[in-house]
Amino acid sequence: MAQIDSILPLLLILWPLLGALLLLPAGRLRWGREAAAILVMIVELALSIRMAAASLTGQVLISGAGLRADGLSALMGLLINGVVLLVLIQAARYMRKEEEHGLANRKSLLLFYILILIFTAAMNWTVTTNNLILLYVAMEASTLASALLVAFYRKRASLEAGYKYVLLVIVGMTFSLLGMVLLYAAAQPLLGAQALLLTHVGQVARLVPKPIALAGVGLMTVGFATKAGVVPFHAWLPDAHSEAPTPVSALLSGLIIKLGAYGLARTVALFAPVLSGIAPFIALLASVSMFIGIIMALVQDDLKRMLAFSSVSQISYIIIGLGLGTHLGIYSGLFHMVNHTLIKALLFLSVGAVMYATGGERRISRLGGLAARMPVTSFCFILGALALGGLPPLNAFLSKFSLFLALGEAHLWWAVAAAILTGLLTLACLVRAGYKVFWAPPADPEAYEAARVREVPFMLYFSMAILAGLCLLTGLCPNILYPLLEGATRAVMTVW
Amino acid sequence: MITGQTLLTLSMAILITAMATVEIRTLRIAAWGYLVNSLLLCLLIAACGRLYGNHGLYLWATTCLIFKVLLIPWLLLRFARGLPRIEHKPIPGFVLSMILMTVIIFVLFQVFRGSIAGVAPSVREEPLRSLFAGAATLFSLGIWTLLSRRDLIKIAIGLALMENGVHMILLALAPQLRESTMIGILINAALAVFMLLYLGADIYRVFGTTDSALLSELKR
Repeated sequence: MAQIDSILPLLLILWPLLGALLLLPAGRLRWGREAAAILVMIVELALSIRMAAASLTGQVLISGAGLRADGLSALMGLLINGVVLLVLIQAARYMRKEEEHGLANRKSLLLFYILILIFTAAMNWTVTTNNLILLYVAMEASTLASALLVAFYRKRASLEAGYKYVLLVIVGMTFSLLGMVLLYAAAQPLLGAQALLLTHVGQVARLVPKPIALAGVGLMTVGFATKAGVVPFHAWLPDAHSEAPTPVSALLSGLIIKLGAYGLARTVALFAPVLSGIAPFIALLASVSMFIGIIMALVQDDLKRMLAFSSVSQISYIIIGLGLGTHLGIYSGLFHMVNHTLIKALLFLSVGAVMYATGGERRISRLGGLAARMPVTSFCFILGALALGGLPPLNAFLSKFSLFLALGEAHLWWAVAAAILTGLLTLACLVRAGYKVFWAPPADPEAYEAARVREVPFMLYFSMAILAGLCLLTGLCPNILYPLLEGATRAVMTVW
Repeated sequence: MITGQTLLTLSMAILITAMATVEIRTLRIAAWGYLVNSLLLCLLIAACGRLYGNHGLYLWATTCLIFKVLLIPWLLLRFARGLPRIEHKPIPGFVLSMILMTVIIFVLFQVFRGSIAGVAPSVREEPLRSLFAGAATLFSLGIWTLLSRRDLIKIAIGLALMENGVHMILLALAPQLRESTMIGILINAALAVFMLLYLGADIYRVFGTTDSALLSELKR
């Protein structure tokens, strides 16, 4: 792989920060803050496409300040900036309605867009830094930038969710810092300052004595699993995802929990070949988590809470793959990461559309019969539900199937059984919810007549349609993702 | 004259002030207790710099002074101004809490001191071994505060004490870390405390209490 000096990784971090400053004057115009934020993200997405193109030709981009963009950074950059852009397009109209309903005001909306851009910069920093400790710092920055977004409504439930989110994730992540410091201290006499580089973690894995590696990996797993929302470190996730404004829920479920998985891929996964107990341990943790997550999702009446618990379950699929440490395991984990990001953003945006049309209703038991009134939204939701359940020919079928193969290759048959069972329960859970909300007779038909429920405006379903199209496209033509996923997998494995 | 004994004395003083900070129920005085704790941490870092001839640690001590002695206590005092003066009754009473904390300090200090050679060979020798044991104990005291205290301001102080423990662990294990990395960690620590206090103040405005046990809207 050719290492090229480039300003691109640095620009990916600085541009959204500069954009956040530009929002201050733009916010004075009608639609100014929305247009400016979307424009900033269009440029940001173009930058990440350029970075992905460079990675496809085998280039690794190096910037000052310890930034390094390889195949995995390129894949994550595309996901992050693409999803933020689509979410912002929907948020523009969605948050306007919140303003009309008195749930937001001019000042809080300006802060909303500024925080989303800062949050985007923090996520881009996370996936491009090559420094172990700065990985922790960047991840923490993403938590802090999103905390006020979770507590955006400043109501009792959202404040409680925001407080819990900050406290639990920060405490959890502190454990990962301790793990990193233990490993660094052990490897520093052998590697010097390079012991801090993520590209040298693989060497650290081989050089440090097993008890230290075990302690370091254990602490890092606690931290990254907290960020990812894996059981038993998930307490913050259902509350934060359900109480945040719906566009923020899409970002949390689509992106922020993936940063925890990214941290595991960059650090813990590299120890799997050295410490033979890691793969079964992570497989056990993730199997329990995926099962508990979907059981909890099944008993929810709140649509957003149901999707949040389903994220607890689905992130465990990703982690089980990454924890295997094999080529197929990492490939399938990353493949499912891409698919889950697309599907969960689609599902949350669909729920946002339902809430927009029904005046904020999100209880499954109170909704019903919306399919005739909201054909695009109902199609998008049910497509997302079937995709998440792993039904062919939709995208998650292939990632789940490759994950089963990877688990079989590692002879973890009990984990295959847990993953298949969870997949069936996921399908049942989401299709049942979709049926009740869109096709079953409405609980209170007059309430909907009064509210004049109809399909949401184009600006709200534009992003949903793009995401639904991507779920179909990547399911029917998985080869289009192959070069990116292979590059990302190689990026993880070549540091050994 | 700085010796290994100076480092041990400072480590012990840090643990004792942390214990006092946790137990003092008047929040403004507890914030001052945290300030003293952080000041002792700065002195410890500077003393390590002098003893081991590591001049980079003087810069660590300076940034620690700015963030932990000036900024975080200022935030604590500022937010505590509009809130109840005395913290909500902690889960264990004063006597039980003192007994438990004393046990935590003595038992964990001995456990960490005895077992550290296996997981961190670089601190096998004294006084670094005791310094690391003190740091890990301080970190545990911070966790204990988060688990046993109900008041939102006290929980923020617990988090800040935990971060002081992390800082001491970094001092024992990675004194050669670059200053820019340390500043990143310190900014995060200060922002985390700020965010907890900011949300805590909003919670007080909406719920009318700083008792975290009453945050039960989402448990229904």
